[in-house]
Amino acid sequence: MSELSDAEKRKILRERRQKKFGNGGASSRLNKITGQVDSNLSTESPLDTPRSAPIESKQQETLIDIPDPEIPNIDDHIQKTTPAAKIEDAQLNLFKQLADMQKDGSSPDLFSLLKSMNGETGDDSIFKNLPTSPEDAPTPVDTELLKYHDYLVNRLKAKTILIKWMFFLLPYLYLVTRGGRTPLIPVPEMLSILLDPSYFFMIFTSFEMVATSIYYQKLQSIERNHKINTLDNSSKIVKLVSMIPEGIIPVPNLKGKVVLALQYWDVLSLFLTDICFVLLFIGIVVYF
Amino acid sequence: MDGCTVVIIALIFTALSQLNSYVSEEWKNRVCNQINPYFPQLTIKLKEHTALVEANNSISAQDNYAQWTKNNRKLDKLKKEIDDLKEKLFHFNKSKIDTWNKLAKLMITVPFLLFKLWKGKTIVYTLPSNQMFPSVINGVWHNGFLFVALAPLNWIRHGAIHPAAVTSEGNYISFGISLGIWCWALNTVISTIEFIVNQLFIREKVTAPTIDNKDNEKSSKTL
Repeated sequence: MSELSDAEKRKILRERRQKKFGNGGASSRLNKITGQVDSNLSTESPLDTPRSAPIESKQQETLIDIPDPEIPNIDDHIQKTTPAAKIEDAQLNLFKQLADMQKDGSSPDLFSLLKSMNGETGDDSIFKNLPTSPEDAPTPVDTELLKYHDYLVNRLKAKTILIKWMFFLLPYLYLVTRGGRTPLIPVPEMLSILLDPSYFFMIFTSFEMVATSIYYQKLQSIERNHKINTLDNSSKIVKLVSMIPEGIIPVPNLKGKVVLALQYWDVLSLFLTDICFVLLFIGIVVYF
Repeated sequence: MDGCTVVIIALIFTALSQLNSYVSEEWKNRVCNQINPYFPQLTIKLKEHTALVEANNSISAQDNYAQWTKNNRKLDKLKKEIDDLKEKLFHFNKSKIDTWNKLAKLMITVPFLLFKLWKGKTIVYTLPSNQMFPSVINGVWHNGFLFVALAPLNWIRHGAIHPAAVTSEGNYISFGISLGIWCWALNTVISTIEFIVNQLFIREKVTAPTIDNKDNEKSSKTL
């Protein structure tokens, strides 16, 4: 008995369902959800609203109507203050700026575009720490170019040291320690005074100054060709110091001072390397 | 100990410390793998894993679903075992390499340092002439870097920056190079030679970046 009644129940439900589908019941439910028939939802789409309307109204305002500052335009105020309108204005101004810049032929600057967006949307929390002008913005260096630049700089340094050692220091030290008397390297009589040990340090220092200045000229020409500052991009100390914001350490232009100190240290280290070579070679010559 | 003996000992220590610095981490790991008890187990498990992956790829997942699933379960189990063994291998090797480094410090670095402190003022050789360098620099070569700090004190006490430069007979001593300075010079020259050889002969040549690559990167940056 209960089975029959269950089956009958199921049959009745099935018939009702079929009737509903036949009357378009499912579609009516769907229509309710999508807001078409018998729905309270608004069917207006933001894509349907004309975008040119706010700009046109603005242009009309600026060219034709000079609005009375005492009587605010309520419609414009509502348009400008809604979030959607703000974002639209920002986007449109961004595209306008891009188009203007491309007409001028200059490449659009990211920071000025972000700044203009900042001005429109009013959200400046993200952009507080960004540089205000293109000159302040640090130019990103191509990593491949930086690698090539490091390669050239290191090769220049290695060649400079090798040439100094092989073609000047070695023969000069040999002659100085032998008192200028050697059949291997004939020295003219008028130059023999330069082989006096008492003039050694003066001649050595003069040579070092000339060699270092030649080295730095070559280094600067490489930096000019690649537009890369070697110390700024390869020195960890400079990178660390540049991360310290101004004001924390009471030293003005700390980065510049650090760079200068590192340049002096570079010169001094080259000098000390050559002095070490001198000491070792003198020892070898004295022993043998 | 005369100058020759201290030079030979210093050369031996320098050679040992340089050899130790040339031994790469990779070589040390290879040596440790030979004595590591987990290494043969890991090798076997890796071979099993490779064979099982090949077997699994050779059968169809649809036709031999049961076998394929069984293989996958075995692979997951093997992967877990391999990860465990890798971790144990790593820790074992790390402990051995740390022991190696400690031994190197105890047997090379520390004794060399003590030797330099003990015999640092021994004169290795005398300069051909006292006139080759200024007197302050001669003092540094003869006495070590501490001379620079002590020179003002000597001037105040004795009226001369280098009171020991003049003998009791009134003659100047022959200035020489002390062991400490000579070791510093030797290490500097060795590291400079390494730098020159590395940059000019060993390092791979880096070609200039091409213009196309540069333009592509520039355009991607502007976008």
